[in-house]
Amino acid sequence: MHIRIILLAFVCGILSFISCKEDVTPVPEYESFTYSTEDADAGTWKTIHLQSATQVAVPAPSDPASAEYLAELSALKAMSANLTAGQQEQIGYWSTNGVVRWNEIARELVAKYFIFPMPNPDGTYPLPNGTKPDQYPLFPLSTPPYAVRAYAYLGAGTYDALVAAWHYKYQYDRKAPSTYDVTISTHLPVQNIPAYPSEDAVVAAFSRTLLTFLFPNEAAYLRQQAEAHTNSRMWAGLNVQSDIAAGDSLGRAIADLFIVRAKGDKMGATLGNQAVWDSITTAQTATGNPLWKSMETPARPMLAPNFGHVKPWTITSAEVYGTYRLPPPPAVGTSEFQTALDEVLHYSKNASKTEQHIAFRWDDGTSTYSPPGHWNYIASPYIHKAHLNPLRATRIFAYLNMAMQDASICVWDSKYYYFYPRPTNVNPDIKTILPIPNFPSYPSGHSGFSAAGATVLGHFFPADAGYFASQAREAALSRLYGCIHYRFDCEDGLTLGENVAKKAVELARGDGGE
Amino acid sequence: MIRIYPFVAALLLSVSLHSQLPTDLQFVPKGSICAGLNYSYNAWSKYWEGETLRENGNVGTVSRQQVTAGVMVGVLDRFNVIVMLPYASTKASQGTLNGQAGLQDISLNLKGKYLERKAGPGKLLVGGSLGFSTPVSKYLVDFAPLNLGAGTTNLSYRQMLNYQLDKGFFTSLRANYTYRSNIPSIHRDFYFDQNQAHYSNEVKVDDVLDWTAALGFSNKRILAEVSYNSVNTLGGSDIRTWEPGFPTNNMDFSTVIGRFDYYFSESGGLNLSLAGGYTLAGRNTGQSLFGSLSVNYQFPVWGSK
Repeated sequence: MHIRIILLAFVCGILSFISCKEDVTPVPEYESFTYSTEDADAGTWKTIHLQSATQVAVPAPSDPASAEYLAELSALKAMSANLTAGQQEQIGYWSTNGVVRWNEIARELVAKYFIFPMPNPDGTYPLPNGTKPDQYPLFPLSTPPYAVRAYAYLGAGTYDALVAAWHYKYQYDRKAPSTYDVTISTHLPVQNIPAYPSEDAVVAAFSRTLLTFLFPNEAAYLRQQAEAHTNSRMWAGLNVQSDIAAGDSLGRAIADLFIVRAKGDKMGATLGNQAVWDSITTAQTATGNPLWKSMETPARPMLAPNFGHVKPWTITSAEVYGTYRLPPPPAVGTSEFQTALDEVLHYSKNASKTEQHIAFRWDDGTSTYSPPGHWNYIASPYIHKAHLNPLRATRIFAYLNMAMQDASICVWDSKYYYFYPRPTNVNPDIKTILPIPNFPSYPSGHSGFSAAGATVLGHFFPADAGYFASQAREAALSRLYGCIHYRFDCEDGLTLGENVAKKAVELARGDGGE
Repeated sequence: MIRIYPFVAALLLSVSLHSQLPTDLQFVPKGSICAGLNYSYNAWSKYWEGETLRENGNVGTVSRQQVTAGVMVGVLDRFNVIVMLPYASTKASQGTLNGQAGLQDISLNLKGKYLERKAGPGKLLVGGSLGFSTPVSKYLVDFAPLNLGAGTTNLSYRQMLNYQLDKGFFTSLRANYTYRSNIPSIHRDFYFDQNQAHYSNEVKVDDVLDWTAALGFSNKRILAEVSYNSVNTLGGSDIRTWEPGFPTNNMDFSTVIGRFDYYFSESGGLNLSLAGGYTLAGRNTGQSLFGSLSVNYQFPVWGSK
């Protein structure tokens, strides 16, 4: 009797249990939509790095009545008539969300390359070599500084490329192919904007070219994604071959201009070398202050000591070293410092499960899209829900990521200016549930990224500004709960991030898109 | 033919993986209960990252202590219900990572003997056990190597086959399949695994197959056994270079375990069990040395025997 009941309970358990094991969706699914705005004047918006929307020329398209175009229409008609399941899947994946998809691809690559080299047998550490990217340790080492710069170039460059695309769209005004041949099957909403050059081809070509520069080992993967993206537009019956080709050329040419900027932005010197590390250590030691030192075994060289010198987007380097450099943090040993240190020890011993989960949620460490990636992740559904056209979508990514990069440049400047010790450097009783980032403590990078991200998103989505701010605050405090930062690291990082991001918001207000 | 097997020794395997079922064909008689406490210790200073054996100065020696309380109820002479609850604590000898402590996974096992038959100079025993386990605390799952458990809810079935000579020597073969649920949350919205981004806090992990071959001797007062154990996760990723482990890792290992039990009385009462073992080979797991001590007490509760 009892056995039967127990067995029956087990069988029920098994049945309900099978449903607990399901595939985890790798990427979010997004619906297609009609763009909420057409922005016919967007060719006049202020560009970020381009001199003007016409810096790269786009030749006039063939006339809609020409034999050449009619042949393209009939080729498109054949292409979109009978789709394989694979083609339909690609149409659904890229849909009207190409900008968000490329942002996701960038996040994925950041995660893949966010992995620290293991030490050599002699206790030194190898560094990636951009000229031999496929040798261990693989290039790049996409730590948060590298990641945020990648997101910023992707967002800002796609923005400039689409401002240019919009200019030529309305200059040439060649409509969607189905306007001229109503018998073409279309599988996504037909947008009420000119189709030449294809905005999707611009996005795909720009993204592919730029990301291949940033992640050279991924050339084949990125080519495959770009081809799938542009092909999906033809399978969907929305762009003829010449729409795609013109967009592709424009996207590539503008990517090359951004790559020129990237080669000169001083990122290449960010990681430094033994001489740089020694000189910083010598100078810091001379101050007599208690200093940060690596807690790894063997000790790892400081991460990205020169990131504070990288060329910013919305402010100048002089402002980084002046206006935005934080005043000194509490001196080690003062009662203010001791209170903050004791608070970290408190969380080391007594953090609640909720606090620990918050620390995990925002850790965004190795093998993740990093803290700025987290804010792109937060932004994506808002961008999607607003049914933004690709130009408006990337405009948000542009300001979001430029603000976060500039905020982190300022954070890094203060980090290496003060070379302030981590709580674990001062009190060895403090144990952490997060790995300790291998650079000085003050101020918190997460806090800078998050306040900058929340400030920009709050500008674009004012109804949710309070939510973004609360998320930024949670992200900041997560570093205290994880016992790797003092509260003042977090508070001052938030203030700094918010201050720097005001500049990006000001630029957004003046670029013609509001 | 009443003998109590100190079931908690089976937890040796759980030290590295998950709560296991009792792995033998010994039963508490109908109407009796055996209650026990087990203490186990496990430590490693080298681990396999994929198939490469490494040391890592950021953790040094990783150790784990566990105390498990268990109750085995003799519903029938050939059908027992077993409940176990472990409390574990972990520690790294170097680095700054915070050791964890807390309750791990409660388990319920139903164990039955299907067949016991004279065969040649001994007897053949066939049985099986069905197990269920689930976390009872919200421990940090994605915190290798200091996590308390895997965070999955498990269902498992173990088939067991013994042949025992009348003189006491025996040999045993056991095989166990563990079906593992997804991990409901690793408390973050994104992870990169198996060369792909995953936008979820939920993690799908592969099932586990393990088997044991044992040789031993038992009579009414002692049980001595040496076993070879092989645990195989049926898929998954390798630990990334110089990274912590991840719940989906393809964790495989083989161990040799020696065990000695002593029964103070032939009809219930107190017994002790001592066990120890070593990880011979592995993948994505530590090269562990481990030992355990169990104290069990059996007493009649209902009916009469």
